Amino acid sequence: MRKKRKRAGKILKVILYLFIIFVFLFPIYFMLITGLKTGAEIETQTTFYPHKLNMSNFKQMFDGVWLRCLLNSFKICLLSIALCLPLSFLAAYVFSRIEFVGDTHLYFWLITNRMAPAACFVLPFFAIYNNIGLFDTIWGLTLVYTLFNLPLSIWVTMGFMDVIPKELDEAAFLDGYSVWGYFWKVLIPVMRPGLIAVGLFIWMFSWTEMIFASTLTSVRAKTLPVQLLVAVTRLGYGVDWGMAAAGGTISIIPGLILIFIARKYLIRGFVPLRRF
Amino acid sequence: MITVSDKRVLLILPALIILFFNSIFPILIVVNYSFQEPFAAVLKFVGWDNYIQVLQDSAFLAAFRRNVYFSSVTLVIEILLGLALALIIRERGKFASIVSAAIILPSLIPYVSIGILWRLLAMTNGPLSLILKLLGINYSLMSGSNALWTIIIMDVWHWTSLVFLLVSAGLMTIPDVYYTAARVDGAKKWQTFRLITMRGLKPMLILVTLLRIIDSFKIYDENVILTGGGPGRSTEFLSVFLVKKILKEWAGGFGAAASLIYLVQVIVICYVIITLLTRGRGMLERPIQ
Repeated sequence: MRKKRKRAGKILKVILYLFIIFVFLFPIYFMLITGLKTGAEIETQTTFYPHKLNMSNFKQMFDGVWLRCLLNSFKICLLSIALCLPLSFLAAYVFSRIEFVGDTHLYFWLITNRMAPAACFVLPFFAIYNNIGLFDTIWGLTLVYTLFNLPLSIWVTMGFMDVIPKELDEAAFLDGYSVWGYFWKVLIPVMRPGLIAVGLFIWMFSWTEMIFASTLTSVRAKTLPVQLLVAVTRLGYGVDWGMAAAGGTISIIPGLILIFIARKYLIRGFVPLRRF
Repeated sequence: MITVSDKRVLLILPALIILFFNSIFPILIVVNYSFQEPFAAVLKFVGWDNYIQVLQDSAFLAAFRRNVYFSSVTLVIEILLGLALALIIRERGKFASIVSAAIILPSLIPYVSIGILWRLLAMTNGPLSLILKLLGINYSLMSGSNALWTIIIMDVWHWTSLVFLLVSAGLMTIPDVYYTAARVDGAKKWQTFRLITMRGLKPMLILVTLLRIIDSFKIYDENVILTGGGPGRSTEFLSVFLVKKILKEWAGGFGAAASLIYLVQVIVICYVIITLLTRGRGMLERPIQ
């Protein structure tokens, strides 16, 4: 009797798991196949696999404006990591190791930048960037992203740094390490998994951000999300859903790779956040 | 003893300088704009007029109310669902790990693509309306309440993954020893859950509540793609309202004042929540070792 019940429970669990997988993966599957359909098929019927395979949407992704946007997105992600990771490491070190007047308030102010709605900053950045020539440049966009990247990455880095005992610092300094030598030879190697997690967070934010990208770029520095927005909202032409779906599918790929290669780091990255 | 005269404190400067230019400077510009009519031919000081206009603007107030409604509904659903999923899929093993990968995936997709994806599902001849028609429900994005609920469901689909991710991370930090001890002491299942699991998860639940409130108040991308704030204004949230005002209607002064009010609202809400949840100990509280 008990064995039977256990077996029934197991079957129920498998069904539940399959249902969960279906709910989360079906929409993505549907987007992928929409990108592979012909325009007529998308407009006229509901089909759950492409009746006539059409590769032209995906081919266009690696050509012309789409390719340029894709490369821009990549460049901005890498630049953001190169800029924010060292800065947040240094700042987190100070917050974690040194008490100074007003540190709590400074820290709260830092985190509030993560809370601020991007839409509130659209107007001033638009005005500033138009005046100092950073409008529509990759560097300009990278700089804006630090507004949201730095607070979160300082927060996460802090979490990892706090777990490392202060005695390690003191022992290293007694051994004659300089501050920089200590960072490079001791602290950074110890914190490597944490820093990888922080890098992943920065990557994901910069890869998905759209509100600044759509208001601060026009042609040269346009990113993939902006091109997707343009593809969907261009008025008067009729939206090419096949193209939009293909672009959407391409934009998922980095996340997909991350999940398989770096899920461990991703989950671990959240562990120290539990304390704030 | 480390003192303030410690030179290492200077290491914070690069980050601070960059954040200063990115945060304080723009806010000063917004404050400046909010007291004038910046895009008019002749600049003139208008005092508090812009603020009064914003606070009397029915569209702004409606967007605010809509946003509060949206944030609370999605928050409750996402926390409960994410918590349940994380507790169910706690075991190790290949199958469970595939399921959890599938759940996490949406949180790594660009928001724009989420919007596109749901727009495809919700199209006139998309799967969503097909399924709902089988159930006898007439569904269309052209109806206000249907559009609002589609956004809520989309948000749940998108962000339950974050709750799941954080709660899973939180579960990893509860030592197995606690459960063994509870079993030895003959604790009931419900007691174990309440006293060990929930207590261990509390900090993570606080964090995820905060993150979800912050982010659902900022919703923009998916909103623009899925409904564009329509039909009419039925799904227009604060960010969409604001960007429309600034970049479509060029209402600079009004937009600046609305930006500031919106910013203060969000920060006050977050400050209250942080203070309540950490019982006033603030954010830099160091653990007792």
